[in-house]
Amino acid sequence: MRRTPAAAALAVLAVSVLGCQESDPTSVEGSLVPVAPQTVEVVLSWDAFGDSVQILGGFGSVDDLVLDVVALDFRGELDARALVRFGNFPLGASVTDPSGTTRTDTLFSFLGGRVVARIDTFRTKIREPLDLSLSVLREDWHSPSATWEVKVDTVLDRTPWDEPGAGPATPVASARWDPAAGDSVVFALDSATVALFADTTGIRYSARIDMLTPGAMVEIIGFDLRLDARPSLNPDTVVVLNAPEDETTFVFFPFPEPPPDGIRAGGAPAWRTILALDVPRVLNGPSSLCDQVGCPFELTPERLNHASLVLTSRPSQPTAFQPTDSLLLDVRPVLVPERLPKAPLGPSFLNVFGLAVDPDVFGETAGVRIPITVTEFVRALLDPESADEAPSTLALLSLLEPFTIGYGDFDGPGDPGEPRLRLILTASDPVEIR
Amino acid sequence: MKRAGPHRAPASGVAAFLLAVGAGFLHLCPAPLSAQSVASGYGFGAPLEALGSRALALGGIGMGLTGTELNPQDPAAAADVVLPAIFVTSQTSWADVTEAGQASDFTTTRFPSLGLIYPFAGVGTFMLSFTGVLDQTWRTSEERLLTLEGSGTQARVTDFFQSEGGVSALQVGYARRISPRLAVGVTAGSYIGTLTRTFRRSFDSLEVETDVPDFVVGGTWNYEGFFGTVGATWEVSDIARLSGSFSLGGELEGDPTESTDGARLLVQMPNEYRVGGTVLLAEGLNLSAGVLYADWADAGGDVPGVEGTTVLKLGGGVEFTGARILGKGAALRFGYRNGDLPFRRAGDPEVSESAFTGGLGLNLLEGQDVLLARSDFTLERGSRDAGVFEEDFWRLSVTIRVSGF
Repeated sequence: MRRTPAAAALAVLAVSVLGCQESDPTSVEGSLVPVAPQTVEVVLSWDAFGDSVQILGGFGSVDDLVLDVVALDFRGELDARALVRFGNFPLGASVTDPSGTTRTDTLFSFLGGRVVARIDTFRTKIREPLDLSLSVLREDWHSPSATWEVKVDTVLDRTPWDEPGAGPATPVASARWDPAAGDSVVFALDSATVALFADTTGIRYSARIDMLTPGAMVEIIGFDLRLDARPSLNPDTVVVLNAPEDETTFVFFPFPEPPPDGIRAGGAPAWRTILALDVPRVLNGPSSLCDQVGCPFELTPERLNHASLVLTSRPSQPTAFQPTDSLLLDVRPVLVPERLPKAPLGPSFLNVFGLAVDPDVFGETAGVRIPITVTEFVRALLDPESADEAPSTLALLSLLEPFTIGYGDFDGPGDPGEPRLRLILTASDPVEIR
Repeated sequence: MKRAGPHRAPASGVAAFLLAVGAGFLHLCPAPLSAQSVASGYGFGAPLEALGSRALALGGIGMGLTGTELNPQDPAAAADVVLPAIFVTSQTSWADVTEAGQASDFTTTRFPSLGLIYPFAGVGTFMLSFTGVLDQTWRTSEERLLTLEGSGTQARVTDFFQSEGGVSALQVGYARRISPRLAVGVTAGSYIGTLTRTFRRSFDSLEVETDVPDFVVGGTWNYEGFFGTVGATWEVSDIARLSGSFSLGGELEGDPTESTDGARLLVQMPNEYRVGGTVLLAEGLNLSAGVLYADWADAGGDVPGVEGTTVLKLGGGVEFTGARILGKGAALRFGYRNGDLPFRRAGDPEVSESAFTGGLGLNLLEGQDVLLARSDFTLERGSRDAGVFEEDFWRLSVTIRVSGF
């Protein structure tokens, strides 16, 4: 007798489960919507929302870049030389002796060698052959701080080069790189030069790579020192050993000055621009806003759909510093502006990949408007509960500092393409019950 | 009409049964209270009849039915209950809608009534019920091309509006037989429930050239208010019963929450008059009919953009109780009802509803001349016609009654 209620219960549950495929009654009658929100786009000039602009430089080091720049009078402005210090030569290698036995040999006679430089052909736009030279640099240098003028620039030591531009150096080889032939340029070395690089008892000799073709610039991914060695176990053969690069950097001239009226991000060492904003809480224009939703219009987080800082690109100055690849922009709040330039920054307002900006907009197609979304930043400023604590200062910077020697320049306040704040606002009467 | 005095029945194994049913009702469906009609969007909601499955099968008025029922709108019907009982009703609807030349469909499940009756010998029967009153769940969306003022940018937007919730009622009641032929009952209740209305505008990020978060505006209202019902059942003869009730609608208040900008709403709910009865046509064959009258004009006038109508609802049906299925007592029912829904959008035609019904009742557990468990199934095939939309629906209602715990 008790099985009957259980069966009934199962039946009810089955029906209930059937009904669980819920889909609320959905009307297609749009006029049933009880509110009629108005959406308006407003663009504020810098005067309406901006407070100040400050450009800061010196973030990171040229040494942090993965590419080394070599240039000669590039765009009539830029000279750059790469410096490379090679690691210790291999202590031994497996060699097959005349009897056919493979053994480890530690005594080699170096017959000569080659320095192989691998050029970034993706970024290099040159299609004509280039001439480069390799010189032996006797002076030691400090990779993180070396510049065109000084070989060491630390707190307790600032030592200039004997000759500006990482000199003096003794030319020992030159080579022609043909882009059509591959991505490597090879500098042949004699045994005496190889011996210099092998000397670890005194000064560590290093190599300096110069561009010989005027007006050219290349970016070098890395260097290898290939050694032709005669093993003691089998003097009739020649083996090739490899000494990888130990440290590399490059020095360049001139060092760019910050623009007096613009906005800059990127470069090496990297530039940042600090923008202090004073977003109004109430708008009394433009007429397109007032005509639609009435003025004064109170800006609230709920009414703000979107806010973007619109920058207008202009040619990088000097033009030699135009980025050769996409500039990845990032925007972050400055948490403690009083501590600038070392103020901590908050999390990015953009995604993890930043905002990729075509390098051409800083050259031949300058004048392009670049919108940078800052909706959450502005919303926090407008929120009465967080406005007192919310940062009102933004930092515009490169996603990776430094990422490239090139940087992006933008029009500053007062310029035709001065920064603007684009707002998309929606206003609505309250939803009522009916 | 057979009556019996209150007494206690031995505990049975219905505890597990109750547990299973309760667990199913409470946990299986994510949205246990959902709308049954797009009519919810055209007015202040669609009415929810707080009736059991049996009453729906017999015309949907539920007045003067034979036996003992928990019907808050016919409180005297519980006067002769002999055992404590729990009632749970589930309804699943499948509807096809034609609106503005477009077809759509939806499926919903709701639980319009839960109830408990508890008799005390010599004192009377006490009732507790939780029922639906107005269903206000619906949604609509519209996709269109919007020109952003100020820039002239064309942006494709989707406006989405959702209304979710409704008015329910929590009632306590008392019924007592005061003479061999006359029983009376009364209920007092409070309107409860919550309504959340949300408008959302979504922007096509490609056309606005950037990712734009949705614009959202809305509010939440909590319902409150008091109402009551008095009713009586008169045994006209040994073969006829007549019942009537009067419900004082009271004032329904929609109180906005602190974060809601919308206004407070006061609605004068209508008084309702119900009359119905049952006649024994032959051994095991009953004929039931009833009528409901309520004037919702004042209620509609309190709600912007909505007009209330006068509701005259008629319904009736026949019940054959002599059937047996799997050795258990069973009842077969057929009925029909017709009437108007209480609201329409200002300027729109009235919304009428009609349905043919068929039902099956199964006595699941009987003992010592008392019914310990019963299930009622009703299938309705009906339509709602408002001129601006037509809605054809199937609705399956299941009521489980368990006694003697």
